[in-house]
Amino acid sequence: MTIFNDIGRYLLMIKGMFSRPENARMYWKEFIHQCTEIGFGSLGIVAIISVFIGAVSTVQTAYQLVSPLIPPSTIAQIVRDTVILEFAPTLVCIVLAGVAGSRIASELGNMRVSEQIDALEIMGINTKTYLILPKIIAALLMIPLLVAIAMALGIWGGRLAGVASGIIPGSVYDKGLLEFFVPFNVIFALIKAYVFAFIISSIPAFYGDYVKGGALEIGKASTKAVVVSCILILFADYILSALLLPTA
Amino acid sequence: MIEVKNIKKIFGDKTIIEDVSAVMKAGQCNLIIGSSGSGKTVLMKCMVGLFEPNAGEVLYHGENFTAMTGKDKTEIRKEIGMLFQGSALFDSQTVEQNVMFPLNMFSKDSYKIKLNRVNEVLERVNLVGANKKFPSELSGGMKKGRTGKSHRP
Repeated sequence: MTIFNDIGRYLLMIKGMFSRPENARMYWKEFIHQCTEIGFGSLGIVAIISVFIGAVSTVQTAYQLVSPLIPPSTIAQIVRDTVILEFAPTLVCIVLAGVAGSRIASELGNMRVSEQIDALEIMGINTKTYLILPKIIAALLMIPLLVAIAMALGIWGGRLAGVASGIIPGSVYDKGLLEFFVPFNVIFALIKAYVFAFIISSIPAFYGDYVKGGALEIGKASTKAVVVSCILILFADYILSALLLPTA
Repeated sequence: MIEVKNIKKIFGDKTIIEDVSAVMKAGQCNLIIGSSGSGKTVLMKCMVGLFEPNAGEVLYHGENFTAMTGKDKTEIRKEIGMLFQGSALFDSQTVEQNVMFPLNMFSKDSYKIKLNRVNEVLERVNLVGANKKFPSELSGGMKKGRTGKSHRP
């Protein structure tokens, strides 16, 4: 029963977000603040992870391609497609669920516990519109951008590792990147990024907004928000892949 | 005038307040007195709509607040100021930003007018010069002095 109760409250939260802002300028300020927190705040970790994902992909793909019949440029194709299809959107979003998701849950949880949200409601401000909606819109804007950056950095990291370890010459890697390229893969990755961005922002907002108790409960809510977000990301990943990727 | 009629509030299987009625007339100072855990805060939160009572009603100038839609409640709330037990200050904002927040949200006055109003309020609660301090730098009493949340700080 708890799960249905939670789903009901989550849907009510989403419904409650859509109301006319009291002051558009203040909402815009909050939106820009959230874009900075979610986007630039996570850029460093996303960059590091992406470069290493690409590098490891190149090394491990080369390790598994032992047949002399397979051209070395295949390594670049495999790295490109795995980074675009899976590593950049899914892995980066799982990391973002930890980085941005826990921040959203603990920020709202702390505001709830310290009665800051009550204070805003007393002032006649719709707290769901003012506190949650800018976070979700900021995530929907910034996370696909981070995923796009992760794609580029992942592929570049693969090239860097391939050239540095002598696995594949740079020119061969570049040639391989252009072979059998399917543009839909990028669109598919961005669709995933939008769905994951909604999960990463709305689920932690739900757990943060409904927290009851004190510091311990904020920690628990934050952990639960990250765990549930990660599970939903993996579940959505499977559903989207099954629905959108044509299989033979 | 605020009227509370037969208010009842239950959390889980525990009844916190039951059948509480009161009339609070304009211009009077009304006190709600009770032992710790008797439900004073719950009653206050029911009166301002932060909690939904399980039974009973709250009337503001004869209008049923508990039955109002969100928009109408917001209009009533604009006339309410409340001092929270836990200060409820925005930790990441300075004292000045905290006091100015409702003015930024609801008024179109210039920054200078808003700043004058902030300084006026801070002077009244003996917090002159505390504009740039953060809530963590204030004592408990100083926080309470600044905490009353309303449209007209």
